[in-house]
Amino acid sequence: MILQIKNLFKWENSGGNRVFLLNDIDFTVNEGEFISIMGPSGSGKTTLLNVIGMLDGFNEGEYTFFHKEYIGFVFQSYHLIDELTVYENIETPLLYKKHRSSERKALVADMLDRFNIVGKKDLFPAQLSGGQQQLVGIARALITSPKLILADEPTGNLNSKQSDEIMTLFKQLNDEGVTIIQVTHSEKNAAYGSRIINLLDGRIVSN
Amino acid sequence: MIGNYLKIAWRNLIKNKGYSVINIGGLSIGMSCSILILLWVLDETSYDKFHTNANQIYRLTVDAGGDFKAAVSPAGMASGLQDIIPGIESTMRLSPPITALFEANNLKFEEQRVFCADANFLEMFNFSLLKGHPKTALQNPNGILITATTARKYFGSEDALGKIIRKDNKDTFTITGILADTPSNSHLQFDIILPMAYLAKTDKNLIKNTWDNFGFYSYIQFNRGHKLSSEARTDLENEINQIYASKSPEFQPKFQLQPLTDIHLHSSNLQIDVSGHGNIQYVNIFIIIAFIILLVACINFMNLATAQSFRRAKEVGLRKVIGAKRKQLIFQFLSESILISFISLFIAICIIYLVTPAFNNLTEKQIVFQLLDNKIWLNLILIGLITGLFSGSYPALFLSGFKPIKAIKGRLRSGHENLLFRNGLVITQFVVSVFLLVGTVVVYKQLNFIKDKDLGFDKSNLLYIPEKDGIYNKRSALKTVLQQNPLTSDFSMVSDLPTNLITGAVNVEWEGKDPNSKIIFPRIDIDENFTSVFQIETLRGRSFSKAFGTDASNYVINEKAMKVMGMNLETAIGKNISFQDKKGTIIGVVKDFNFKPLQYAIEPLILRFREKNNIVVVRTQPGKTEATIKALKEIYGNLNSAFPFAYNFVDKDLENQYRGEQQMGTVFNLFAILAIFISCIGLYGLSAFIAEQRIKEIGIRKVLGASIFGLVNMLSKDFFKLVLTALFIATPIAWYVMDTWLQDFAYHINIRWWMFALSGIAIVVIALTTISFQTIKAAITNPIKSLKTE
Repeated sequence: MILQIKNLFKWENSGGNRVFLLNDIDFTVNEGEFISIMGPSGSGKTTLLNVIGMLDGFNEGEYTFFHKEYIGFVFQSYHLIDELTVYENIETPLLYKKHRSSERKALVADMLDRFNIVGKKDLFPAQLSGGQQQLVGIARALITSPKLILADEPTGNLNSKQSDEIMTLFKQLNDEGVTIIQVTHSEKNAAYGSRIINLLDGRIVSN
Repeated sequence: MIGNYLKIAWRNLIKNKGYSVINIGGLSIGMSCSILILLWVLDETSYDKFHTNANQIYRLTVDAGGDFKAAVSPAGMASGLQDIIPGIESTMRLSPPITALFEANNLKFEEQRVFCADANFLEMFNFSLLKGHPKTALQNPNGILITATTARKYFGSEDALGKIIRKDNKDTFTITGILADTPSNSHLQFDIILPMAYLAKTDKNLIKNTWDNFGFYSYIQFNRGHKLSSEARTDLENEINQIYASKSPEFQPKFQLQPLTDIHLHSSNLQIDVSGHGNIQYVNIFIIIAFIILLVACINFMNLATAQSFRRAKEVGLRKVIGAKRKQLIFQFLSESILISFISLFIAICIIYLVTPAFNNLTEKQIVFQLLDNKIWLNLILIGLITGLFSGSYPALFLSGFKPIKAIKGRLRSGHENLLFRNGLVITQFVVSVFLLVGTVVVYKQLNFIKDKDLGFDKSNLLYIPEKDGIYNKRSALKTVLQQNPLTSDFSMVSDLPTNLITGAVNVEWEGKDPNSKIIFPRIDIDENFTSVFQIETLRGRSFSKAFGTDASNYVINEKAMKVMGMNLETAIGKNISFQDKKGTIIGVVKDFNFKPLQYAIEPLILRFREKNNIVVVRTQPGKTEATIKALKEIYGNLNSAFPFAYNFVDKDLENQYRGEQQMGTVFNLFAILAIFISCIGLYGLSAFIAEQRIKEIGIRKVLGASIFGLVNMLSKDFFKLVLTALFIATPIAWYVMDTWLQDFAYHINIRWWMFALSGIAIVVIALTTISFQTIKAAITNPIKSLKTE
């Protein structure tokens, strides 16, 4: 078991009414799972992912994250730092973990190699296609060898060919033992995963 | 890590060129101003510290009561004290500056920076002697010390040592030493030093070592290790007062020991002092101004950085998501602001190199900007660091506090708190601007007031020929010749000019005088033409006249003296008084006129009749000044060809008295303008940013039919409110500070409400003009354009 959520509520008060963003969420994730969170717009998918990633808080309930290891994030719109090159973007998480310079070089070189983007290492994000940017985003998420990857519609801005490549990559990572939770609209993408959680109005309707 | 930060910082600078220019431009101007002022302050506070024993040396000053404080003491006093008080290592006297004619090598010049000094002059002070022997150079009454520049003036490249130089066409001296030119940071500025032994040949005070005539500057050097805490000093001063009281029971002034290093900045209330002193008040004012200017520049930086925070929000959010801790982000933003600060520092240094000559010109200093001087570069780095840290602090704290998810999604509203802070900063800047502007107005008005004040006599067209040794015996002949020429016939011979009178006596007696009264009565010896030439009004009685043979024992007094003596216009005439033990009758009362700088109130004045005096004052006829000078030159040439003819104008002299104030005023104005300019740069940046932020709103309003005027008005309103608030805050502060400054002058303007109104209007106009560039641009943009970007 890598994390557990018990009776979790998150709400916002708007004009005297309490609007539930997450309503009594209850589920467990085991190591090595590949979970897809699905549901219509506004059903709370991204909110749930942010709570899992500890980017956002909640109002009531219990959340246990069993491994303190790093979580890697992948976003729909890639979210690379525009002022940094591909190389520097991938390197940045290591800077915050205070890795030595030689170590950083080796790790980034590995990653560039693995995603076949060595030739693009000195380009800035704006000079890359969407698919390439997302590759860099995934490379950046993986550089610190996280146990869990949280992906918020990672293929939302990509065409189908690029989507397939990214999903294949995720599948491959999952096979290597990385736990993945993704938010997606697409049944096709969800099929890559091992389990689907369906949300509606902040509630889990099927798991 | 730091490399990564600086890289990002640099790329951001390049990306937002406009803001970078505003940021760095404002900061560099601010820094160069502050550093220049600091250089000036360093120079002002460095006076006389180059003497090895600077901390052991004190000057004896005197407070004679009734606001009369002077830098002089009696001839016999210093050495007399040395005999009585233990711990005094040595004493040294200096005469007040002498003007004399010197001749050598067939060259004649009138020298004004001449002093007589005791033989141990060079032992007490560390003025470097290039040639000659410091111990013996002033032993012989015929020895003389001249500075290197003076030596060059008379002897060119020849070796001047051992050469003969003549003073006033009679006394000859052998040059026994060549001094290096006086360091600019010495309170004593001289070209020639004569031995006191020379003066002692004729000066009665020196011969008799008198304790009652205050005519010398006395310096006392205490033994090393002698306790000189402020309490010890007070004890010493008390001891000195007691010793003096035992010597002179009838007149008991209070003596003070003034530290040598205090002389330059703490002598502004001392009379009969060497000229060229600074004023600690101005040093303090300028330190505050330096600080304020830097603050204003830092505020620009803070304001723009905070205003632009949304541009960096996504980056901050992302960095947090991928593991950055807040501490690391704060560090990143601080290193960024320090980078900008050091770029600005570099530019500021270049600016300083460029403007130092002009600044020296303005302040009459010889400041050399030496980057390699330890003190300087350490200070500079300190300024760079502090500026960077200070101006980066708020943006760093603010930016690093973003919630990551909101930041990434761009759902960041500029918070209320942030807006409040930014408005606070803008208000601070404008408080400073209003303050400086009011200050400028008040200083300008006061200096003009001084310039134009009715002194009680007509100062224009008064030309005078200073005291000349060689003319002394020919004064009667001179008088006759002057009378004969219509150009010069309106003349008067006086002992002193009513510009900066330094005479004064306490032994004045009148009927009903309080025996404890120790009022000082300044005195001028005048001839029968004085009141008509100076156009001084006689209120009662008459002025002196040759027609009454008895005027030599009569006195004319001023209104103030009349009041001090408890008389009035009806009773004064005919009263008997005694001045310096000489009895006489009051024959006239003149209207009060100023005879000292306007820092001092008019004191009671005694006018004595002497037919012949040393200074000749001529009232020239309008438009005939040139001709009069020519006539005078001829007259003097015929009478006394040995002396070069020299003349001055009374109004020029009066103006020169306020040079310190004028200079301070100019520098103050300059930096006030620069501070306002820096504020405007920041305001420009801020208004550009706000217009950009509201571009969509403006577009929608335009589509709905808003007029350009309405939009400009809307965009300006917020700034207008800030400026008004600043005006309200600045008014009492400026009022208080400027009033304090004005109190230094016995004659000063009063602060009026219109000065604030004027400054307020000026600031509002300047601010609105500055932001109008951006608001008008935003208001006339085609709305299609701004709306399409969404």
